[in-house]
Amino acid sequence: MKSIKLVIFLLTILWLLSSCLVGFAQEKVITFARPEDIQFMDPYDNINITNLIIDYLVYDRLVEYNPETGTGFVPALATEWSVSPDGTEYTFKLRQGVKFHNGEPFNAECVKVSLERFVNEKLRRGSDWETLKEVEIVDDYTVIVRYKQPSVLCLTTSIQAPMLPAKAFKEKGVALFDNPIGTGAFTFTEWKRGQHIICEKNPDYWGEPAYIDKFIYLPINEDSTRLAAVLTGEIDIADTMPPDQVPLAEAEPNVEIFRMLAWDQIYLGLKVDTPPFTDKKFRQAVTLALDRENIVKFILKGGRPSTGNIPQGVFAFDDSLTPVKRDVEKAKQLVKESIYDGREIRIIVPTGWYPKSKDVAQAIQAELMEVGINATLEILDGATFAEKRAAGNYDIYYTGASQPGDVDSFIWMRIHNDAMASGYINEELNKLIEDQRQEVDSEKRVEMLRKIENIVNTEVAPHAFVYQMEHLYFQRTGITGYRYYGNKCPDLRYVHYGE
Amino acid sequence: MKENIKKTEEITKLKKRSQLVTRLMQSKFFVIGLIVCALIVILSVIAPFIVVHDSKLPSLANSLQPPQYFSKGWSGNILGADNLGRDVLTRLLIGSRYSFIISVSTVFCAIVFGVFLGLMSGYYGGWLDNLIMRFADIQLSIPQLLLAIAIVSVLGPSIPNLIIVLTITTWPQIARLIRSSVLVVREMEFISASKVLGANDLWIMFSQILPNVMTPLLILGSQQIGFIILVEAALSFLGLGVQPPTPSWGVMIADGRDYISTAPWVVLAPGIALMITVLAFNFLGDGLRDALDPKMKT
Amino acid sequence: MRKYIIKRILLCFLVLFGVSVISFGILHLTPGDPARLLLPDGSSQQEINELREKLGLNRPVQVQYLIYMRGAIKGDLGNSLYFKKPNLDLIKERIPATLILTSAAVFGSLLFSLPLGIIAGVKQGTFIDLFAMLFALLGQAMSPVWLGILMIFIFSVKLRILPSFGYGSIQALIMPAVTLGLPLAALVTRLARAGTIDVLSEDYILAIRAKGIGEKKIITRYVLKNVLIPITTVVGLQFAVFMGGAVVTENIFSWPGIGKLAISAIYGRDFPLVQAIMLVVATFFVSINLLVDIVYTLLDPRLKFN
Repeated sequence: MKSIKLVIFLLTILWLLSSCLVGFAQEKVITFARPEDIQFMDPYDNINITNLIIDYLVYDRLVEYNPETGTGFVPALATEWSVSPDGTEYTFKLRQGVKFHNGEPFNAECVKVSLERFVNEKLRRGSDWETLKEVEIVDDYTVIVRYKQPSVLCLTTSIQAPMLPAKAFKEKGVALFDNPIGTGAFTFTEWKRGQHIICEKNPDYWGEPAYIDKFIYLPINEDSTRLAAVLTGEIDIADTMPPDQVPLAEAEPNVEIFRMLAWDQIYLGLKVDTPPFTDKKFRQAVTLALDRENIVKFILKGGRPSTGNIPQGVFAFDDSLTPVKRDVEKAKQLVKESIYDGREIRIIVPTGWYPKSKDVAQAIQAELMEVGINATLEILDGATFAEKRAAGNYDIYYTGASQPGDVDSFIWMRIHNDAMASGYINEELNKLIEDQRQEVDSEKRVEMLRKIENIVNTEVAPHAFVYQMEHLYFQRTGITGYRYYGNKCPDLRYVHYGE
Repeated sequence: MKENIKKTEEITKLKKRSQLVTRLMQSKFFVIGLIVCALIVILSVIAPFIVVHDSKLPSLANSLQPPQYFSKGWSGNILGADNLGRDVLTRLLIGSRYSFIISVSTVFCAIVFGVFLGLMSGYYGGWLDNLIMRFADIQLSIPQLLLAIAIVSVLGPSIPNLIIVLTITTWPQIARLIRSSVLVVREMEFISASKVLGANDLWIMFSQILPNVMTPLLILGSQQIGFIILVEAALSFLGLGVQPPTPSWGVMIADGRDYISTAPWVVLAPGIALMITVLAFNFLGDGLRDALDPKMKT
Repeated sequence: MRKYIIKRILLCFLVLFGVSVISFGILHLTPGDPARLLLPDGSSQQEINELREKLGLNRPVQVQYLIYMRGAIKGDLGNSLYFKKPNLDLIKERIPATLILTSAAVFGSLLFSLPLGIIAGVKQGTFIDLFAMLFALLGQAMSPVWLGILMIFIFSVKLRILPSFGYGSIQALIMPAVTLGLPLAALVTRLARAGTIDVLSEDYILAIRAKGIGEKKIITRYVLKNVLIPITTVVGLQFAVFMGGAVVTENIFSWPGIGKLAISAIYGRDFPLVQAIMLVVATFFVSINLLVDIVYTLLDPRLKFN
């Protein structure tokens, strides 16, 4: 009996010790969890936007988003900048006295080595910098970024092109990114794939120092687990939370909910060159049949019905537009008047890419059926969906788009000239899209972008926009200093428990 | 003389059959299992005729309606509504047809394949055993997901194709289980006795060995029915089987997962239905095994 | 016996070959272009083709296969298209976690359900028997998804005695292991119980009892040995299946195992990685099955494999 008691006693001590070990650290730690795991840390070769979270901590960029407004730019590693009148040259004056985590100094050479990667290598972010010609070093702290054609996107795209250490990169190449070195407020300390990434405060940071000592990123894919972890306090911030769990978070006094409108929208792509989509009446019927309000209200429980391809919060957003109001009778009428012969209309839907896609798709199918369109759903895994869409093997496709703050890449890749095999080629539209890319005058560009949006809306081609997504964070009360943007990647350099 | 022997043989046969039936009826398990299974089958067959609501049409304003039980008579949402406002009870009844067909067909086909191959493998041994078992190894190494995506994209998402995928991934387990039991039974004396008497291999396999390996087979088989429904859920979730908005229990369980804490009825209804079905099949299997157990033959 | 083992090991290679051919075939048959998925949504066909060229995806299937196998034989399982790292490294990173979880689940289930089933079979009709049957029922009908989420809510959120995620401590292992192992435990309980009832009703048991041999010895000598044969089969199968990746459980508890890797590789049509994972998993299968067959002969010396 005695020995059993002893064993139990020892086990309990062991148990307590192992759970206490975490609490021993007196340092300030913030733990952040998100569904996706970070697969690689090369910011230039990555289409997975989750990386930005760590990129913000470990690297710096030439400019930053204005933290007050969320758009517009403020100096970071560049202290001032100017654009040549024809829009092909951007001159940056660089900050002096900045050191990388490995001691290397930051200067013009670093900018050149970093940005010219887009010229020398084939990178996944390459399309952002397609027209880049070269980076000229004027002196140690002045560079000229030169484009082949006028560009309006230099500053926007530079947010995701942080500055890399020239010498280290020349030595190690992409192996550098197994242990990234930047100039940021945090150093990259530990990376266990599938488990965590740990970043520690950089005491020699050139800018305002961070408040916390350690930041831990955790990939927790399961929504319920993330919720449980933030309810118990095991993590401090839970990202990308589903609206259905809001009541549970509200019930817990130590947890707050932060909602923001993301720049992502969901839309339907129509196969414009195939009957009955060739008939504008039919396309109008499709957009009139959608019950955007109720989809947002009941299925998504957050977000807003779309008004066009420019989401709220993004450059050139037109707040005078209203969403298309559902009109079943008119839609039915239009369907009857159109050339529609009653054939099956196939909607392809990818699984796993967007929240509640199955539910929204089913609602849309029912709404189309209600106005007399014989719609069926084809739910496909992502890869198969991408293939079919590219091959034009669809009547309607359901998809979404994330935005980086400027719609250029969206309209270029998805609308311009028969994009996604939609069959939609509108010369006027194409010219506008090509022109706006080079229009340096902001106001003129806004006009052009809104005109493009207008054409897409009135023609209902090639897209019918459905809704703009809401993004939810559950965090422990007292957390402050975070900067959340519509691209769903938070800037957490200054997060801490405040007053 | 011959006539008398023939008559005795016939009478013995009849006696055995009625003995079997009596034994089956005596087993409480079997009777309960049979009744519940029959109930489920009948309900799923008449489902389309007795349901009040539409099983597929969303009604967004009715989203996540809690169960109204009989407060509105038969026309309310007796067991509540799912997140698209569809009546849970209706989807449960209609969905039973798909779940039932898929899981029972799969288990049946897998048993047919698995038992046959397992018997051959265990009985003959040698190169045939190696061939079949290595093939089973290959089969088990291929992820079910990959196979499902491949078959469905080539042949199209349909219920028969789903059954094919599920059968392919299930037969190796059954074959291996049968084989291991056969290995034991084949060494027993009464088998050698039959062999000496000149009985042919197939007859030995099916009428002597098979009844003795029923126990693990029936247990695994009845377990698989519930399991397959859950696998079907996972695959249907990816559009690899039952296409939305068509309901099936598996789909309801998978879709309802997000609402476990806020609207538990969405998941509880199919979950409990699944539990009852699994129980019924367990009882059926246990009762069958009790009745067929050759050791109990006198 | 030794000859048999050698023959089996040789056959392993045949199996691996078969797996590689079939998996290659399936992967390339399925629609889905890894190059398209590696580039941002909306990239031009030209960009995609360039990437395909660079990754060697435009060469004929047979050539791609031979190149891959040539490397595989030397131990080089290729590089992941997505991670751009050697597949073997990626797999090695995650296999230990899966191994730990699988072992915990399998041995935990066995430890619990084998005695439970046998006792239930011996004491038919008693409370233990009822409990065992109920346990078996729940284990079979309960979706691991619910079980996992439910347990997290009870033990992490309400009671705060177990962590909801994580890897590295015993506490973090408990819930995932239970979630993974419960269906197996249910099955083993039923098999053990039924097997026990079967054996105890045999004629020769009466004779042995008459000889005066104690109940305990009967159980350990006769019941256990007979019951273990189908159970070993099932356990072996499940162990091998889990090693292929207990995707659902790993997902719920954020367990850094190989399941998630395999799933995302399949979704991303990361051909080399899927191949590599399947080869590794196949190796596990054949080894475990070989082990199981050897265990049979230990359990019952009469069993021969010709």
